[in-house]
Amino acid sequence: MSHQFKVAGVFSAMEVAASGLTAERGRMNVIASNLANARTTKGADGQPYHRLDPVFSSHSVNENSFDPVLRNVSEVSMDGVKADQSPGQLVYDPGHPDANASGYVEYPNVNVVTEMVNLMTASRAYEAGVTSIESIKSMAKAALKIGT
Amino acid sequence: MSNILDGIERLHQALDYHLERHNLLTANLTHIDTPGYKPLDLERGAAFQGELESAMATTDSGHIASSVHGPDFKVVQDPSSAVGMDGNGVSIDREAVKIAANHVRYEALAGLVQGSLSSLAWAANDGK
Amino acid sequence: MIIHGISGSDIARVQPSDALVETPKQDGVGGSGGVSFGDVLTKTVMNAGHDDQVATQKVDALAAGVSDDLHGTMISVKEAEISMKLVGSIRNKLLDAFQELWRTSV
Repeated sequence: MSHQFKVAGVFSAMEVAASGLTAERGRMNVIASNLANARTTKGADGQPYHRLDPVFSSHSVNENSFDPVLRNVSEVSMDGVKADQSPGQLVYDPGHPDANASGYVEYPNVNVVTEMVNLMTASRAYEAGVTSIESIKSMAKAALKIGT
Repeated sequence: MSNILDGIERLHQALDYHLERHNLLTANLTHIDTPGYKPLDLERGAAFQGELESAMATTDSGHIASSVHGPDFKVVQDPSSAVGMDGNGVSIDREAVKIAANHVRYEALAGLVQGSLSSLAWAANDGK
Repeated sequence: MIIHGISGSDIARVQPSDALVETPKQDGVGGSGGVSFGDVLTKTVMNAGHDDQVATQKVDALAAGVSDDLHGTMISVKEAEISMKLVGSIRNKLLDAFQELWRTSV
């Protein structure tokens, strides 16, 4: 795929924007999981659910290109998730099946408001990526009109 | 010898510049969550400035016209970006505005190239 | 994009206007001194051929998916078209002139 003589063009910009969209969708999935498990007191490991954070990293599109722009343009990818190990809220509820010896239940460390804010940020970033693709599409159309 | 198509060549380079810059700006936008990422921008080098000046200076056929240089773009870190807690300096609004402005400029230039080429085609076709 | 194959499609190179204006100084058509009209014409035709080659190369690269250079290709194609039209126009003018001469009664 990578070609030494390629320069930054319409399609490289689209690929970079697409990587951003994929990453934002991954982030939204993680947030959805956090929200869905906001009250899960017992996971597969017997522990309360711990909120997850996505981990992003960047990769150069084409580090061998002679074009300095293409060498500096990098795609983003979601490498995985990292569990937030901060303690959850302890609520006294001796009748709860997951209550500990002293009658306290540990709820997940998910803050619904924070998650909603993150969800909105991810959604905005996704929309911005879509706008960038629309923009490059329109530029390509303008370029094609030169030939008419 | 000055070339009729030199003007088009300059517009061509300007189109290249805006297309390449769009790549960088889009990359900035996708890295809104990458820790430690600093936004990049594309700068036009001295050759373009010199090109502009000489384009304005050669008003007389006796003047020496500059030859068209290769593109002279430089990738730079956006100096005006504010770095957040995670070392990431991307602002979604700044990048969106830059992309929009870049887009408008590109389309304007493409329109100019189309117009120039159309009028040359008209002239070459003996005014038909 | 970065590779600007052409310095050519140089309509200015045609510059026969200067050469033609000076023809009275020369003895006869395609005179010994200065630039002959034939040379200029040959150059123009060769130029159009060269532009066409450059445009074809760029179109091939685009079609093969090797290049993403949309505007560069479009500009080259248009420039080749202009060069071709120029040659066509000159040919038509020459033909008209020749027929004009042919019909002239001596």
